[in-house]
Amino acid sequence: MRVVNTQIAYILHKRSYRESSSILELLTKDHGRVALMARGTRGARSRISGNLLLFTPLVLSWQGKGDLPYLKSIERADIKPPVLKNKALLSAMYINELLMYLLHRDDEQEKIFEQYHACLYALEEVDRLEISLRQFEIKLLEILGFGLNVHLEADTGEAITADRRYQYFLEHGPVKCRNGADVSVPQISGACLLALSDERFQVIAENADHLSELKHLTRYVINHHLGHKKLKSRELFRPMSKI
Amino acid sequence: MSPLLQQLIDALKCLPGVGPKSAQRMAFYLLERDPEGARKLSGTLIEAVERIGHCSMCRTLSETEICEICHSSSRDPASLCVIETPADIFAIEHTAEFRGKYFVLMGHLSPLDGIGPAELGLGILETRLAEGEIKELILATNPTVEGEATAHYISEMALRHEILTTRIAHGVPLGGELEYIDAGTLAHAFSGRQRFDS
Repeated sequence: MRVVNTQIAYILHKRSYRESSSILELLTKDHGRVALMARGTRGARSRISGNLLLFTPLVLSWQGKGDLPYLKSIERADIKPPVLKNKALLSAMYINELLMYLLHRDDEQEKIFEQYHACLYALEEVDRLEISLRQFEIKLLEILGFGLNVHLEADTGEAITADRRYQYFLEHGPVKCRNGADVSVPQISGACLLALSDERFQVIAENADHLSELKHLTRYVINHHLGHKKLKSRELFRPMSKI
Repeated sequence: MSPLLQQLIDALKCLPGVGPKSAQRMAFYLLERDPEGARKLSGTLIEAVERIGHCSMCRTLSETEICEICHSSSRDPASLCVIETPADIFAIEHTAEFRGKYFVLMGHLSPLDGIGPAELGLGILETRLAEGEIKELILATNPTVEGEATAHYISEMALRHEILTTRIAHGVPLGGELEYIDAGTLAHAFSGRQRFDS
């Protein structure tokens, strides 16, 4: 029997199980992604239903063996939860979906927890939503071992030049744009690659072209790693008529 | 045990909260004590399953193409209240506070469960907003993260059609005591405080 006490965690997803229980999918600080069975979580009399909140730091304990241990206790952590409103909420849902698909159970990745935690608080700043999401995506790919190659031209090993345009090939890297380039491969400017290479995210945040290029790039790479899975949360950013 | 009896017990287990033991008790009760009630139950059940569908205007459960509330001329068509489940209609009707019409989402946005805007019938809602009869859209989704996200998505939609959007207030329940209220609700109650006129 394994017992874990007072672990800080976020709920990524919860689904109802039987009459009054829930299965919680969590991102924990020291144990990575964990699934727990939580009893008595629903109904008007449940004492803990008010604590089963997404995007809120929680402290929980669990015990049991196998894939689905039991939740023993859950309460809100003693820190102010991020205040997410409107589009920030939809963005946070997107991040949860990303983690549920890309992160495996029990990958003990403390860094991912830190990035997730930081990203939720970053999303409080509504005018920086785009760059906060991109930053999270890039860090996540990096931690999972799928990091972008943005430092050197992939074919020649030459330094990136700010005023050139590049095409980003999967599992290869940026290659100088040639005439008649394949349109399905995303293009990115040298200046944006250089900013990424030095992690100067502020430079990207201030440039609408950079932001849009980077969005296409991360989407392209993430789609590749998702395989046949589609992110449903992307629909939340489109008006009804375009779904 | 007779095969038919076993079949009945298994069938009753499909009800929420009914396990093998309760199903067995129900089966014996129906057969021994109340066969008339059982006949009535089975008849009504079949009829209900076959005849009840969704209202084409508000998506609530209805046995007619358009439900009674949507059809009613005494309800204000300019005010539309968006809710998550048909049970919410009963709750709101009970208050006798609201005289407009409803739109039932049958859930909330939850991408990880495969529920996006299309699954909530927001295409139908968009068409209704475009028709121009609705002047106020009241968002009465639950005060959960998912309910808030759903309310936001719909409010953006209403904004494109220049329709006034309101959100129901949430805060301290009547007869409640502050001491026992969770911090989140209390914080919300504070930020949404109103002028007190004496």
